[in-house]
Amino acid sequence: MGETKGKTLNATKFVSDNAIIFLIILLALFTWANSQNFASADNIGNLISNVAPRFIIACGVSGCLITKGTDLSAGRQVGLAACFAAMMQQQADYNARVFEWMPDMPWFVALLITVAVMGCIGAVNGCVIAFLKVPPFIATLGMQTLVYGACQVITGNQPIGGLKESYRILASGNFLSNTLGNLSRFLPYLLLPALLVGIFMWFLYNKTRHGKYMYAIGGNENAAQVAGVNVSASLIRIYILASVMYALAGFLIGSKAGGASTATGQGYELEAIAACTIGGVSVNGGVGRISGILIGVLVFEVLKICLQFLRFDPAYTFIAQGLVIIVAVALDLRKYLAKK
Amino acid sequence: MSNEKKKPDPKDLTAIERFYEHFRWIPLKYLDLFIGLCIAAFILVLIIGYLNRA
Repeated sequence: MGETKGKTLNATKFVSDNAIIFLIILLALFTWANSQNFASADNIGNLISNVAPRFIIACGVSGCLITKGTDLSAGRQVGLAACFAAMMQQQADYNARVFEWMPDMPWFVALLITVAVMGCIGAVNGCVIAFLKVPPFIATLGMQTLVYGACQVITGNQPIGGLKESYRILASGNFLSNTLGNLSRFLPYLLLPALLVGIFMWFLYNKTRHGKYMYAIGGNENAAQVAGVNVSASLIRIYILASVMYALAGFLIGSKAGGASTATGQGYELEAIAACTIGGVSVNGGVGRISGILIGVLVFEVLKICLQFLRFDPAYTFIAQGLVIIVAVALDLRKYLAKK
Repeated sequence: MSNEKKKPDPKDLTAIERFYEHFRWIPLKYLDLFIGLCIAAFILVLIIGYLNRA
């Protein structure tokens, strides 16, 4: 009798903890039943292309959240990375080149430079948080504004276009397009970096000393320090890795959009934090899985696509997204209060 | 069911935990009720949005 009651309670807890995910699945089924092309190769490919950069950003933010931190500069760093990449990948004969002296370079060199520059910004974030003991919320809020200003100065507040075809194809092409035909749209190029990042982050979080240190710091920073964990070095590594992820995401977003501007990436940090929270990464630290993050990102993107297909007024989309974030935070608060 | 148990030392808490500590006095059942209301509001927004769609 007691066992049955326990199982019922567990089932109830599972349903209540994942209520938003069940609702989104129901919404997707409803949309599928009521609109044509929802499950088409084009739409699924589009969903994957939208999810991929956001998943990479969320993976970056997750490390900060697991160590009881946050990164409010994520979106602006993505924007700066997109602008950097776009500036380096403008056509040599394009009239409105931002830097005319910039030599023509292959896309992977542009990616490496973008990653290196953004890694430096992540190192600054990490040092300010680890050594100066500035709360991550404040440190990254300051960095957000700083990066935005820097982006405006560098780009002259002008949108950057005229990108090379070799760069644009990175986010618009599909794998096996010659052999699979229409079905290749299920396999956009953007799937590959997201998959690689997911595997890398899973390995890092679950199989390496760095991952164990990260969860230990998130669980109890003082205990981790006493146990011999170099907390400062770990935090710096986490913020550098986060910025590297933003660089990669920004590079891909620039390619996908076919251009970049100072508005690129605006608000992405809140989407990423919300997706992590929906996916079970607690802002209280010490908890979070890569699979959960992917689910969180999917919930947001599927919600947006469903409401677009159902021809909702965009205002209702914002209200629905806001409610999803409130529920995610309330669930996190509930977990915290129940744990204590 | 109230969460009025031993209070942790504020020095050991992060900013988010300190923020969450403000809600310690709220019984979990009220928090569950709030979450339920938010989910109901979410469903309501979807229904209203669907009825007013373009």
